[in-house]
Amino acid sequence: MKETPLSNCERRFLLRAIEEKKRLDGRQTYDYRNIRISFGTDYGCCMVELGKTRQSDLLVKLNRLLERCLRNSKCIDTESLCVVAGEKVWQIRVDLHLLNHDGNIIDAASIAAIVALCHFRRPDVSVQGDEITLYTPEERDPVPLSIHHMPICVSFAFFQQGTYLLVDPNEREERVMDGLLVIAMNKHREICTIQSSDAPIILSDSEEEEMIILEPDKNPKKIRTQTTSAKQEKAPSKKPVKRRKKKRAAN
Amino acid sequence: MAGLELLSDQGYRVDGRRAGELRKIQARMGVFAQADGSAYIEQGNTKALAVVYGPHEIRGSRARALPDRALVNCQYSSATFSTGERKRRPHGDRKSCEMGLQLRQTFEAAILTQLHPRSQIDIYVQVLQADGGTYAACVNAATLAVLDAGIPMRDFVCACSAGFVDGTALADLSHVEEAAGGPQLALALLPASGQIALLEMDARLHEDHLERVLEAAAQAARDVHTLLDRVVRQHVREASILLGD
Repeated sequence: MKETPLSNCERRFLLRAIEEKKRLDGRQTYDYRNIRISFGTDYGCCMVELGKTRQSDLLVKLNRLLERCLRNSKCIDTESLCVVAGEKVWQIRVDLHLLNHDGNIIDAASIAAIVALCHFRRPDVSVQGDEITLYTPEERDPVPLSIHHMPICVSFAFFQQGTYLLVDPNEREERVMDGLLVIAMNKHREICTIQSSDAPIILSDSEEEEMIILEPDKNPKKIRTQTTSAKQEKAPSKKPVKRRKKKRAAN
Repeated sequence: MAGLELLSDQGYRVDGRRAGELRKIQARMGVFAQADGSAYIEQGNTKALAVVYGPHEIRGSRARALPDRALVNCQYSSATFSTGERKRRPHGDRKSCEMGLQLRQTFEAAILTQLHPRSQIDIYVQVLQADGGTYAACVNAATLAVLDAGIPMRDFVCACSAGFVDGTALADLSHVEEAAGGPQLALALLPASGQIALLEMDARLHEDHLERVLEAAAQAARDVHTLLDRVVRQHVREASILLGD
């Protein structure tokens, strides 16, 4: 279904409002929308709502960005996934399904991916000489993945060649924005990924600092508390729910 | 990590360069007669070829035509023999798609697309040998090719990569330095206005060091600009001699 085009009046209205530092939904320039994270019955199944976000065709960009953010930043300890050196290893795959796009799918996707990885439990395995025993969840509690740090993406939308800056653009703001800058950081103040899109920007020092100061305050604390409370619950039933996370032992 | 020191105590890198030194750049414009514009660049051992067609009428569906600007279409392909091990899929894989999107984003910022409404500009980049800094080499080659085609641009687009090892920012990374797994930054700059067309960073870098790495990349991009400018002037001089001016 084709998107309805944005009329020139609406575009002008949005840009004027941004110049006067006002946003349509009443947020401030640096305010995030409410994030709601809910967990499914299965380990590794997680749903994130950021406003009401829907599907579109930035999939290649999103895919590569998440790959770089999660894989290259080495947030998961891949050495601990080894079962038998040189022969058997656990393979982790993250499947993301976008349900609704109300702007800023990148942030929502990154939060969902890292939270699902934290929530996930893999079956326990023990190696005795040549014999490998794989325990079912009933025999032994499943083991969590070893996660070094949690990189979270924050998107900044630029207007008028970088004069105005907004955090967490919704769908309307995304349509009129000039460019987007995504910065992924963890709570140790390390930058995991930076990606600029669509428009040339002049990064003045003060803007850079502003953006980086805002980063760690955004999400990590909130997400940490939600994840720890979810970790303490166990999967109540064993019925086959659609898995958000698939795992295979690679032979 | 054992055995390979990316930065020695005396400040020399693996290939003998200093921290902020670029690799040797050689470039030629007008490599092919058939295409509207073409260029070949060698940055150290990285070799890239760029070819530009346009502006011409939109191929395929007319519905994609933009009423007020030209459409910029970029395709990136890296030869099967470009890397140490033979590559199975030269184009169509995700990485090539992403590179194509990034190149498009970079050049849409620089080319004056408003001058050619309802038309299309094609930029094809081929990497013949990849030894680190492939994005930068592609952008530099494509800039020269677009200039060779006579398409008006806001400014040169100069790109360079940068990294961070042992507290020092390194400019223009080679394959060995990229494979070591440290933070890498790719920057495409419009030198005259100082605008950043594309900024991309991988791997963990503490925020305190970001500014230094950015500055190293920006300085390297400006050095690349000096070189490309010289190449373009040389080419124009040769062309005008042939025309008998």
